[in-house]
Amino acid sequence: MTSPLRQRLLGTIPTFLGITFVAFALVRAAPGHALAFEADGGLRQGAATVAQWNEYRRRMGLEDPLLTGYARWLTRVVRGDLGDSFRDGRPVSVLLGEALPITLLLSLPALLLGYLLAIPMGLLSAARPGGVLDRLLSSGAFLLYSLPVQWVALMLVVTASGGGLPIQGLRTEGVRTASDLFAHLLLPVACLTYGSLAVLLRHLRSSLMEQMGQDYIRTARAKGLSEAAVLLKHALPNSLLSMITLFGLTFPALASGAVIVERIFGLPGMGKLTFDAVLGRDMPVLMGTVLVAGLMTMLGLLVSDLLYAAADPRISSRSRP
Amino acid sequence: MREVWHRFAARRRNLLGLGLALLLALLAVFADFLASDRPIVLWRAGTLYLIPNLVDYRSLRGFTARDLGPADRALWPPLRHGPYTIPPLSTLQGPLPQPPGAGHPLGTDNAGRDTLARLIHGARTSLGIGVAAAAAQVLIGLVLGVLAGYLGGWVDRVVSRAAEVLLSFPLLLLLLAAQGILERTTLLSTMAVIALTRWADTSRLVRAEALRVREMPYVEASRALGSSRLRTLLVHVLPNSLSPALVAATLGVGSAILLETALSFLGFGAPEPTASWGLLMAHGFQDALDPNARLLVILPGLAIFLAVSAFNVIGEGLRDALDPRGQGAVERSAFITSAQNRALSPMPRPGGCGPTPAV
Repeated sequence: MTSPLRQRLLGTIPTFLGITFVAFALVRAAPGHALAFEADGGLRQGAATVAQWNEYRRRMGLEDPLLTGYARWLTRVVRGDLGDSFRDGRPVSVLLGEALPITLLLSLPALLLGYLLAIPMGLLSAARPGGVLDRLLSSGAFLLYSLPVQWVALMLVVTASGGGLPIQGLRTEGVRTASDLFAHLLLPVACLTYGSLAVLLRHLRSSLMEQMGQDYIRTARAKGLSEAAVLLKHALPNSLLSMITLFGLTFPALASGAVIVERIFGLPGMGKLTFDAVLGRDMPVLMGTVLVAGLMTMLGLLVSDLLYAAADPRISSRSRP
Repeated sequence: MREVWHRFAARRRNLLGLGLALLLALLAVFADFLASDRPIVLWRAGTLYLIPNLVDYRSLRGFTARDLGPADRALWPPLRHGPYTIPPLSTLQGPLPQPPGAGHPLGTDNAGRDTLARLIHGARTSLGIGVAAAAAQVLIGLVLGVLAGYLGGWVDRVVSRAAEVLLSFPLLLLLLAAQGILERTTLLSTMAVIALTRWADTSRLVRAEALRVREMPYVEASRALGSSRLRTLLVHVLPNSLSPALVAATLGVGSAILLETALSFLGFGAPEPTASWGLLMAHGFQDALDPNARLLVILPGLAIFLAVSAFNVIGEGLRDALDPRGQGAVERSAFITSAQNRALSPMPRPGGCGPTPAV
């Protein structure tokens, strides 16, 4: 019998192959003929790009038959060679390395804030299910789901431009203070937070409600604990357990860069890198960002599963049915 | 079915959502009768033209309201602007985009096109793509999910792996990349990429349901009575696995609208100059700091919000109505409930059976 941990780790192998294959298929399917580039609006010299493109295709095995090409491409990728950007000739891995920290600078605070806001709100909701506050918070979270992020971002830009908050980029020209950076991050982080808040709040509430119906809660009440203590000491820890797994799920979406938020606020993160790559048909970069996003999700799921196993002894001691 | 409807109608919120969705659907269907630069009925030079706003009469090419003679009669739509009418430069007063005024109740965009007309026709684009993508996505997901759940074995393994790989990519990024490698994006390609990337959610839910249904006594009875596997699948398993697909379809419309408008906003969805809510916002974004362009940002956003929340409300209401006790049939929260018994295993997305956030 294999341990569940090993099984889980082995289970990532097909997923890894699948993710890399999608990225490979994407670039392979991209039209490489000169027409596609000449129709580009004359932004770059067509011939040079076509030469670059052919060189790239040969080097990355895009010309070979599907499976051998994939194998050849995969060995290159595993060794860290993602090719060079068509735009400025710099290695894709370097570009990714520059963009990733900026995206993390946005997404980590947003995720943290999401948790910090969702936990008290979820508790308030679950304290009196069906009460005014609960209904208000639940419908609030529900409405947040339906808000288009580009709208929220643009509304913030429009309002903030009157209030003197910076709306573009990461820093004011020539200023390198923390408060300046903070002011630049405020709006984009707010934009990213509302999405994760909606997800987290909804799940925390339904998880808390489920916990409150369990037998151990009845026992806790029967031994005379106050409702607040029941909620905080008994229901919350168990609910937080399931929230751990949500971390792994919310994080990659944020880490791959919110394309729209980064575009509107002009932040040079992963989202902007992807968008620019699509815009300029910079295939190596596009392939790199898709690959990183997919792998981040895979790792996020893996980490949250492992965290979950570490937090819940029932799982690590029991094998999968 | 009646029972389901009663449970659905018992909540005012659900009816409100349904009403709103129907209203938007009417708007989408009759957009040409609400906003068009051609009359609904035209009597001109002794000829009667029926619905020239829909039919492109050869003799009416280039016809505008100015060409109307004194003896001609026309029945106009309430708004006399089409979504694509760009006024001739000579008639323009003041800079573009124009603020709301007599001719244009909600102003114009920076090409002089009427905002209200584009909003109305945008309902057609967004709802059309939303419904078509959701239908296609659910059809794929339903077929694959039922097959995976009922047949098990390698079919199940292949489908589940493929779904898992698709779910491993952040949606918008994958869509953007897929649209980006196309030589030019069209409404059809937008719909197709949404459907092809989103079926995994549905297939996962349907598979779980088919797994449950497969163990039901009536399936066993059907097999015992000598029905073939195919017959059992079509007559018993498929109809009984429909409810999650129905919910996924409704919620799918909402998320497809969000995705379409997001893609269009980025310039990789509906091609110019389609009247799409996402494109309208992109035009507003071009001059975000011009107060005259504000409406171009605010109103399409509100329209998207209304449409998406209408379908989300219906979807959630439908889920509760199909499964009042919140067990079996449609997982209440695919994620939380399974988290308790789930040993280490590939994980469903949190939004599995809920609306998908737009991040």
